[in-house]
Amino acid sequence: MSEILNLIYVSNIRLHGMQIPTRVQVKFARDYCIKKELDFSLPVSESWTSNKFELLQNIITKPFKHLIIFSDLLISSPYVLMVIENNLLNSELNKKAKVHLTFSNEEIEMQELHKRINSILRNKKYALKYSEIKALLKSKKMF
Amino acid sequence: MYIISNPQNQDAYDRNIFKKSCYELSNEIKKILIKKTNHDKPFELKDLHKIISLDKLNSYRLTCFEEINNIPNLKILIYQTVYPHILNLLGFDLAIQKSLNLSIQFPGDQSSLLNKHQDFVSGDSPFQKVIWIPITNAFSSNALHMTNKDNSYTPIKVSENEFLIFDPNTVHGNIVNETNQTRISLNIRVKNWFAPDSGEHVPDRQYGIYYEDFCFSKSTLRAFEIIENQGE
Repeated sequence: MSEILNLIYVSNIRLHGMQIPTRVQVKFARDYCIKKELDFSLPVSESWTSNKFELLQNIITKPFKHLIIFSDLLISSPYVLMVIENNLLNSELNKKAKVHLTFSNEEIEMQELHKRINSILRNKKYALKYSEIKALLKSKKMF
Repeated sequence: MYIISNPQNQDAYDRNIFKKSCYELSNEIKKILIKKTNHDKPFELKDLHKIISLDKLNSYRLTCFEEINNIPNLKILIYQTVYPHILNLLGFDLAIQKSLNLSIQFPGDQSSLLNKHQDFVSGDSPFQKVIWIPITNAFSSNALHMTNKDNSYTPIKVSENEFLIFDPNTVHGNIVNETNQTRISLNIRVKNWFAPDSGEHVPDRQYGIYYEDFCFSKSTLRAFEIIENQGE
């Protein structure tokens, strides 16, 4: 299997209230690649009808050196977490691959990406939401 | 509480000044700030405006900002600086802003003004507090300003051996620095991990893109473990 060097991935899926226009994601990726002297290749785009990140789940199991995405938040889904756990952490494949987050201008390891997605999902599960606090204040159950 | 300098209002709930618990962070920052000037003779950071011209200030600040945010274990150094005071104010389970901000106020600089504002208006969580760490002495017109209960707007004097934790729901900002000293400070936002961010309304101020984990109590980690082991 031939190795892809730079995998630029953009997503149209609305997640955690975020939906970044594809053109904006591509612009960030292009600028990032220039700054970091990485080759800019044609981005792969997740289907807007998907909610399970099928494309990402598929491509992430193929060998690559650099995965370039807008933000870890945009792919923080249990489906992505599962594919990282099943296909990457338990095998040598892509263990040395770098993940580039163009919005925060960071380069991280796959292990760190896994840790961050875990933390984000934990926070979304357990931390209070603004609307919950407002509902509580309205119902006066807090007092 | 370990309040060593009285706030402007004796009974203020929105600003507390403490002695830094550790100086490693400040020392690291000072090294970066000095290194990035490329100036070969010793100088004091309060005289930075004599070394860097105003038109180069923003590019200098951005270069330093990037290097500061790449300091290994940056969040641990912040924790060591503000421990245990931040825990007394917000609890043991905390989320912290992902990037540490750097502010540089040159004497007479009108381009770095931050007018009176409250952070929640632009989408920050009203549950957060700001950790404000001076690298040079902050006093008079070069200091952060906050409104008081009588609506006056006055400087918060903080020496470089101290730091400030303030409530950004109180109107604050800065004015033109009319002293002859540059003020350099860091600021970062912290909130209780379980308290809401404003992500439902302002997605780019949510955990994951704006905040990350800072610290947890062992008790909370054990509770997470117990719930996870219970399954859905």
